[in-house]
Amino acid sequence: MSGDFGSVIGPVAPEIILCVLGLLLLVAGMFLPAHRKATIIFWTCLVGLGTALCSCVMVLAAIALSPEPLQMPNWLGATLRVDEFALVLKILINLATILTILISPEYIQHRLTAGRSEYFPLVVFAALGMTLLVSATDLITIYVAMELTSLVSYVLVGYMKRDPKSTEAGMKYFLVGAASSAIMLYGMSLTYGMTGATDLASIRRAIAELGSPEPMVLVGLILMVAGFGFKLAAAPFHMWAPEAYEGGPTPIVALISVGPKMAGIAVLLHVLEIGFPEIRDHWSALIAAIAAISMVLGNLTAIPQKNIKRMLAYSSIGQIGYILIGVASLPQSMNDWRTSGIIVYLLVYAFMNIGAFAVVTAVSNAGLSDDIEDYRGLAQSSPLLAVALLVFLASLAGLPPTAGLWGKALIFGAAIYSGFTWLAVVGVACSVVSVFYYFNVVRVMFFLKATTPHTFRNTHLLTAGIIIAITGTLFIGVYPEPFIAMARVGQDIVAAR
Amino acid sequence: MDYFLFSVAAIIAVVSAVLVIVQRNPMHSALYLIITLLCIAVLYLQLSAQFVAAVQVIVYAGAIMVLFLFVLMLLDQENPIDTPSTLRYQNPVAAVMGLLLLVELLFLSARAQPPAVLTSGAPGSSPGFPGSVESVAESMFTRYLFPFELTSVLLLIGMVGVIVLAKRKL
Repeated sequence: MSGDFGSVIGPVAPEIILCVLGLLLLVAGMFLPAHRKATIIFWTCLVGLGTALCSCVMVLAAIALSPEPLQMPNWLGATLRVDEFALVLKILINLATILTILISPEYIQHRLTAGRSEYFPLVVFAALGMTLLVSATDLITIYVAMELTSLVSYVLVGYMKRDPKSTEAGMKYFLVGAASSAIMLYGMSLTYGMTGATDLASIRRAIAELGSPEPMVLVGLILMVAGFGFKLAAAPFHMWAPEAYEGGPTPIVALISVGPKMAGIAVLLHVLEIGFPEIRDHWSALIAAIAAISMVLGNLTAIPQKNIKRMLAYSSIGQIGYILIGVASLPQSMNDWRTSGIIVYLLVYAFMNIGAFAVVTAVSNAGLSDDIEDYRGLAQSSPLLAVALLVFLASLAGLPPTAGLWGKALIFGAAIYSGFTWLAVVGVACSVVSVFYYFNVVRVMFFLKATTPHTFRNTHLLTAGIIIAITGTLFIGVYPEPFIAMARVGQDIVAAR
Repeated sequence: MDYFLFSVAAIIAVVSAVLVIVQRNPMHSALYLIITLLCIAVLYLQLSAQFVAAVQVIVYAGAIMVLFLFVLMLLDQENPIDTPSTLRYQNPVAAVMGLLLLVELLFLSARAQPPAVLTSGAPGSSPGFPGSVESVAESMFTRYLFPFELTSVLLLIGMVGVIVLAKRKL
């Protein structure tokens, strides 16, 4: 190990910053004077997350500019791999966390009776879990990081303890999550039993030596994928999502509808591409099936929903279906539509989904409920919120000129290239169906008169969050080239294993 | 000596296991279960599975039994509800399953050679032996150092989360 400090901790600097930030905020919550506490914790949190984001960018730049591949320090062993793909996703996760933090303060001021100062550190630890998850390449690290992310999510979803719905949501999420962790662990132990290794590269070598695919290896992989599927809320492992989304605090729902999905997709890609490329045919069909079920089920069940958070929950099940098409597709050496499609989709998804939940947060801050009925006449009472929600919903449906179009186009292109034309057809059909329920909300907002006028006084922070999300959604929609090019960095995930 | 220790531990384990299921008082059953688990830990030690023995004592006889006792103490011991058991149909099934397990164990023990560990004295002192304290410690603090350190954050989150959710006033 070289004595150079930078090379010893450099690659994991973002994680170290997040960990220190979380601990600092926890301690600060105990000692700061009560009247100043909220402000200091909020701004420290924001600055810390910004620093973590910058450190991700710096590590990414260091990797991209140096001629030889990054040397991981010895003490990490084979448990982590910091590659460009992981770093781009870490940037996205930090971005999503910053947006969540921006839309939080007013909501927790209104809704939380206790634990306000522990809210921000817990969100930071959720970000820590997710950033670890995207670069974990060892089954044990994957498990610990996944538990870290999930544990924080359970607590945060049930955070409004005076609200029975939130408590119920937290409890259901916890029970289903614990069961799914057990299933995933069972798959991991079967894999370890068959290959004798926990790090993905050794697992791949062991599978190659086994020759013909052992049924036990397949069973282990299927159980692991089922466990990841629960975290991704992909059908048929989605039953916790509608309750958790409906009951949880809205800013947290914004985070857990985006962050764990990014982390889960990264874990899935790492496990499948580094650990199990020898049996690609098998898992490719499995993921394609999960993608198709998620798209159809998510989009069809979203139609009759009366509650906007439930509708967005089912819509996010459909969205994860689109992204999984990308996972099922073949990687290509030239013009990699698959990884750039996945990364662009996740980037766009972060903006549009958090944006949509930010508007929901703003509406519920004004004292309205989450029923779609309560969005009547939003265009008159708050044109900014109505137009913002219009942009986000159009992007979720994949309509031009919003960014949602490009994610879908790239992923469907990759599917057709890989011979999954039927999946692309299902995806397009589902997108058409989705326009129906997304624009039902638009119809209610713009063409129905409000029964009682409401005044909206949003804080600058929430408005800033919404404006950042709109800017992202529209800018990527109009000018996607640099993001697609940036996303190409991910293609070495296959080449450099 | 080995044989003597094995016999004593095994006999106590079997006797207390029987006592677990014949006791009327669930609290006594739980206490006998602890004795069974401790005796099995002794058997693990004899097989030089030191780590499994330690885990058996700490996790099973310690943590899990505490949970058992908590649940039992929450239930009303004074006035047990005397409802007729609705799970009667399970009895024959349980008998058949138990018999199958017994046959399986007898079959395996008749066929298998006794492990070399038992015949040639305990090699637990050799550091490379899997399951020894040395080998567990070595992989925990070298190869898996990072996930091991990570569990400290995980446990902290668990504590913070429980306190935030359960404490009435914060």
